[in-house]
Amino acid sequence: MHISEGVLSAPVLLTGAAITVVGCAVGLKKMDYDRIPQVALMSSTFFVASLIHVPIGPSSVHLLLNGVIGLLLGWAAFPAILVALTLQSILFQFGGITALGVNTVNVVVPALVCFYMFNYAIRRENTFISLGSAFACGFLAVFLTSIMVGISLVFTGEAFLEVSKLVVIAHFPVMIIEGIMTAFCVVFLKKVKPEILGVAHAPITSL
Amino acid sequence: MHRLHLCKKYTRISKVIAFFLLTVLYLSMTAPWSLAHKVLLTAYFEGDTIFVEGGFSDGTPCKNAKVEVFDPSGKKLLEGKTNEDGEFIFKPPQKTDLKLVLNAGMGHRGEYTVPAGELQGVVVGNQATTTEAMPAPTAETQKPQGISEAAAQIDPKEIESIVDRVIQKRLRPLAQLVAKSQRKTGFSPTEIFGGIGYILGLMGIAMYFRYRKGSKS
Repeated sequence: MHISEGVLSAPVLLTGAAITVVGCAVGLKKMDYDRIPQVALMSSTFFVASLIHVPIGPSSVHLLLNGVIGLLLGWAAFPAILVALTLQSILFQFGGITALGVNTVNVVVPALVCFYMFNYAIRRENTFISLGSAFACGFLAVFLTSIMVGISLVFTGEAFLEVSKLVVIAHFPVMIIEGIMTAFCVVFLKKVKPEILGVAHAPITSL
Repeated sequence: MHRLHLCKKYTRISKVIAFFLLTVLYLSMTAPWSLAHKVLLTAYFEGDTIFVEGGFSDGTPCKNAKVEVFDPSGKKLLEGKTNEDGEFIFKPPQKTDLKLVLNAGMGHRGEYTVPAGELQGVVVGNQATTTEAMPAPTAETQKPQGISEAAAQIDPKEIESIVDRVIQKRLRPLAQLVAKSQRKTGFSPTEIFGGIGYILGLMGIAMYFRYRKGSKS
């Protein structure tokens, strides 16, 4: 999500910035030494994923991948997304610098919600439950982000229901794609590197 | 046996990393680098009309987007909506700087300022245009005397406005081309890899500080 410069009012921008600062502090505090490369990897994944646009649907939208990022990083998603969004707004002029806080919150809060909702279900042995919840995680993260964008735009005078409906409809193809991608990621990681998914639950404190 | 297992594990990890890098490389080379998240506005003139074109940075037009025109003091002069081609056409009500703001909804917004200087040649208000005067002399081309009489009747201001209009008409495709190419700029593989580089650099800094902290204690 990249809300442009000059769209949002000051209170919304300040609230977003405050939440982002607190979130980043918590994220950095919780981030373990061994997870720094993982956070950087997910940060660059988000950075690149936003450039891949999905041509289906009424308007062109891009991938977000916040479901996967939330699952793998938990609270560390805050600094990861903030860094990626900052670079996007400087290098590609995606979204305004002042709107960084709000944009970060719009992406990370849904990621965190999905992390807490599906974190346990995904690590279950049952393939069906694991796959289903992975799909739901990817799907729901984008859906919630769309709703969050609607909420942030309410204060600019756009009618909430109207905007939310627009954003949700525009992102529907992305929700499906991300659901499938998340499911694939979880299956792949469970086979190749199951400890990555486990780390999110019980971080390795020391080696 | 243990060593063999370790070896296998490492090849698998390096395979994963190689797969990731190749995917990024592949995407950066082939993916349509079109994106929806930057709104660009451009404007050009023809006679007394300003054509505003709004588009996303992938070249798709902003359809049915709201356009507002402000004067330098921030007073809203007029507003309207773009058509299917992302165009909005209006006649400038005054010769001051005009600030155009396009709101494509969902938080996408673009701005463009038309400087007062560019409005000099533009006829403001509803002064009569004189396109009809053009074909008149053709009937008299065979009579040299008629031409000079007709030429004497046309006043320089009229000629100026006709020339102005023709030039603007000829330049319009060029202006559109410039507007389009302006919209396409934004990012290239250089910037994409640069961004990834920044993130990896930050990772390096973070690890350096953690390493120092660890070695002190």
